[in-house]
Amino acid sequence: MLSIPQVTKLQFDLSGSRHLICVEDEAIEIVYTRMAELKRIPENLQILQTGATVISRKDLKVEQFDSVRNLKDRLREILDRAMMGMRFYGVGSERFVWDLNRCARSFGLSEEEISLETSDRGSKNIYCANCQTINCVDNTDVFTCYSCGTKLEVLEHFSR
Amino acid sequence: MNEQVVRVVEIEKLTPRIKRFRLVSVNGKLASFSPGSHLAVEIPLAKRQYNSYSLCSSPYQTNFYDLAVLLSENSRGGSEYLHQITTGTELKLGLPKNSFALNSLARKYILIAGGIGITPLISMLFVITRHQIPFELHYAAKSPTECAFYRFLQQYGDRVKFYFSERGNRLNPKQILQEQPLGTHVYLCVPQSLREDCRGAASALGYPKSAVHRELFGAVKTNKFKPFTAVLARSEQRIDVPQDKTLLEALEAAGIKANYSCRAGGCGACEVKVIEGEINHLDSYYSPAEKAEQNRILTCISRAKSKQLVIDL
Repeated sequence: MLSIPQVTKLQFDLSGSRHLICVEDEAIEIVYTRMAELKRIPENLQILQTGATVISRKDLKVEQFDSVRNLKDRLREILDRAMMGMRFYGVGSERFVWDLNRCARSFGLSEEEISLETSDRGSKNIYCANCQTINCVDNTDVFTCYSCGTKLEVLEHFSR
Repeated sequence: MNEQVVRVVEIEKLTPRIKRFRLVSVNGKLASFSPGSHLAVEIPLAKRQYNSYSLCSSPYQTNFYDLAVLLSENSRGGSEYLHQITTGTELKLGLPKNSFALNSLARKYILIAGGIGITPLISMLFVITRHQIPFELHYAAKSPTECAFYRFLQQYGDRVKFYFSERGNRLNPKQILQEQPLGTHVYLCVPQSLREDCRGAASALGYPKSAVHRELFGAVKTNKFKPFTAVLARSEQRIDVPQDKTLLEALEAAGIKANYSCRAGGCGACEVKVIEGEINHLDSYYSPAEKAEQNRILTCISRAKSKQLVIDL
């Protein structure tokens, strides 16, 4: 079902000519793991990361940002000048990944050019069906809306 | 087919071999259409046939259709018939269908046409320019006199580039497609060899498949095909399909009501289930995996490898 987010594994698409990875904090470990599965590291690779690198690698240059907002400003700057052939990768919490996915899509990238992987940890956006507020919370099954106080059962149903 | 009856009110010779026909409704309003649409025209010859043509008028223009028709050297009679009609002639049309629609999320369009392939791209230009989306049109033709809409296209200035083979100008797909911004969508309406060159260049530059769109015009005509027999499972009727006819044409000749739209293996409208027999897929509609299933055929273009095909009709 398209309305339920599928857990996907980050897939490097080597048919792309340039690869841009946006990663949230410690989720960079996932990127390293996926890279280790490749025969070679893709050329023209650029990594933007929030927070500090947990495991630093000499062969990869990582641009770090102190907030998602600043990372997104840089992402927009890159995408605005980018040419066809770019592939976009998002790794982190559901909230982070889908937020950046939306940003990438707004620059014309199609699903085919994007690969995402969500980490177990982290937050997600939960929409309140009662007052239409979008709440940012940690993964939970039951939650009280910040705005209207309604106790919400969190469903997996998902709007793209 | 869902019919519209139209009258020819204007005929313009665009090139020595291409005529533009302006059509208005005889009995009411014309069906609206989206850019890139085509429709079927009934050709009232002894053996009734339907030819598909792209609409080349503005989709915002609701009181007439424009069609441009090339007098084909391999004509089954359709283009020859249309080239000899006069204003006042009434024609029966199907409803517009679109298997070459503009992607509404594109940030730039690259339109590439060869010869008569310009027609669906003309209807696109009306919409693209109204939405003020950047575009380039690359148009290959033999010469300016063989180039339909040559004067009309001058209004777009350097966004339109012409390539005249007579002057030795060749279209270079790699040069056109490189260094294009993210969100570029490419629309190809060109002969097969150029289409393959464009798709190859796009793929090498990292374009995703979903960003490269193609319109097919004209089914493949060759004498290499073998005749076969189609057996209709429901009526047990046997229909011979000779080497120079498609399965769809053979069904129509036998008076069988069969669905169709593009008649070029691109839209899927004529799909029929295959119960028995080996299919020779010649379409560009199914994926390789779907073709391997060997259980569906597009009657407008694909044929049988086996001597007979049992189909669910």
